[in-house]
Amino acid sequence: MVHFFATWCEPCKAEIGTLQRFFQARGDKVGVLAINVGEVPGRVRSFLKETPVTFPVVLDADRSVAKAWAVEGLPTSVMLDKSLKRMLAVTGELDWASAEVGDEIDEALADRDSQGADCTREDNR
Amino acid sequence: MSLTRRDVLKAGAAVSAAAALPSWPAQADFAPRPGTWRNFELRTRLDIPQPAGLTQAWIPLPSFSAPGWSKPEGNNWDTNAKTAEIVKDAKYGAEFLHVVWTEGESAPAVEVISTFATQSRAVDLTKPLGTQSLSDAERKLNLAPTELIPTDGIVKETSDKITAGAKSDVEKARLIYEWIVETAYRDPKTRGCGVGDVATLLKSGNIGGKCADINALFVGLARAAGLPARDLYGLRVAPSAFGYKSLGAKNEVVTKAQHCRAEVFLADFGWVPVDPADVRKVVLEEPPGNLPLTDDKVTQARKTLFGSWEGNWLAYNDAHDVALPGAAGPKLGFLMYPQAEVAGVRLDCLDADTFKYVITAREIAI
Repeated sequence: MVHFFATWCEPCKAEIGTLQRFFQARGDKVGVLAINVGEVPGRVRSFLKETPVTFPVVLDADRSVAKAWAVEGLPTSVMLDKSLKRMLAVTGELDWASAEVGDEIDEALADRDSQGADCTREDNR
Repeated sequence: MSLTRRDVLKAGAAVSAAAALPSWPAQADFAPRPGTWRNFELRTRLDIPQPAGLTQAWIPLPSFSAPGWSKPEGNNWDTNAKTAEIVKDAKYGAEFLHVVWTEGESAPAVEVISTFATQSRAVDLTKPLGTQSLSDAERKLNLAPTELIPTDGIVKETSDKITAGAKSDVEKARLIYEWIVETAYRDPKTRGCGVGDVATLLKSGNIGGKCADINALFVGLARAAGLPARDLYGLRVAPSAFGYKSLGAKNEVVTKAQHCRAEVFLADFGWVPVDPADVRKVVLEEPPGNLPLTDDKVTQARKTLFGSWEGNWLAYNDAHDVALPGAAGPKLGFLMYPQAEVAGVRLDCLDADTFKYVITAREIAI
């Protein structure tokens, strides 16, 4: 899960807490990388002191990564499969700790796993 | 996955609301009038508490000249730096002092003293002045998107909805202004003056922020509607003479009094001042606070700040996407706060613990 956020973005503040809970619950299945868009290190550090997370957070200081990924708004989350193909993408606030989102993710993971099995079979032909 | 992005773009409803506004009563108290220049001295003192490696700073200087209301009048400085020089941004002409200290300097410090003159503005939008000129280069510059103010996508879509049916440029500008006053809000939790990421603001459906957000939104929507517009980044330097506690400096210390305003170019009137962000500031902050839009203080501010503003404010510059020479960090969306880097790391200009600066302003006689 690649998650783009900024500390000034009001929905991002609420979302990153639920993303942390999501990571705690599903971190064995889904890796999370948070990308801060366009802010100085000190500001992000202060934010993370108040809202600690256990997944890695990196800086996109000049917004070039957000541009390359065609991020149109914050927060934006993109879920990739093992081959780095986009599985899901959402722009806007999402409650990652909700059952509804958890179910959607589990379903996507199940699809991924079944596709992975198919690939394995194909590779073994 | 079904997306849950909130889409609260109620442009149609907002435009209807704006159109339904009552005609304004005769102007009462809040009536800035041009005619009297006010001269100010601005002192910016900056200290870097924890220097390491290469330490440098960039301090905005008053550099926006406009006939009739804004005159930068020079800068002096005192510093223990190795070099200090005035640099002018090539695209916008924004000036700043670039200061570089010798590595090992234990207490990097600089004080800049600037003088400038300003005055109130008032454009009577009932009395066209005849066709006003704007060069092709200025028109192009003030219609162009910036890094944080795109003029396509959701900005264009929103602008089109707001201005649909408008019969003149004045009406387009007015509709955008009223839509923002009705739709946006001042968020007291926003750090500094906000970031001004207009597309993100619109997409989030949460159109809250401060002047750099709300007035940048005006500029983006106006540009998308084909109206040249610009943000002016500056500083409140004196109290309001009209009793608005929220629209002026509280005292001579103006370290946290940054404020940006906007202008829109209208063919029959020239550059017209607007400040929808300050209308929302009046709503939030004028005692007793959280005033309704029907409160007299709000209605006066709302009427006045489309076409007028008070000369208690400095315009530093109108620059966007400013590259700081010698900097390791990225371009700035705008240059309104002093900036510094220590060992290649940009400091947080809003964090008083790592980056100390004090700005004072006083009115002077000439």
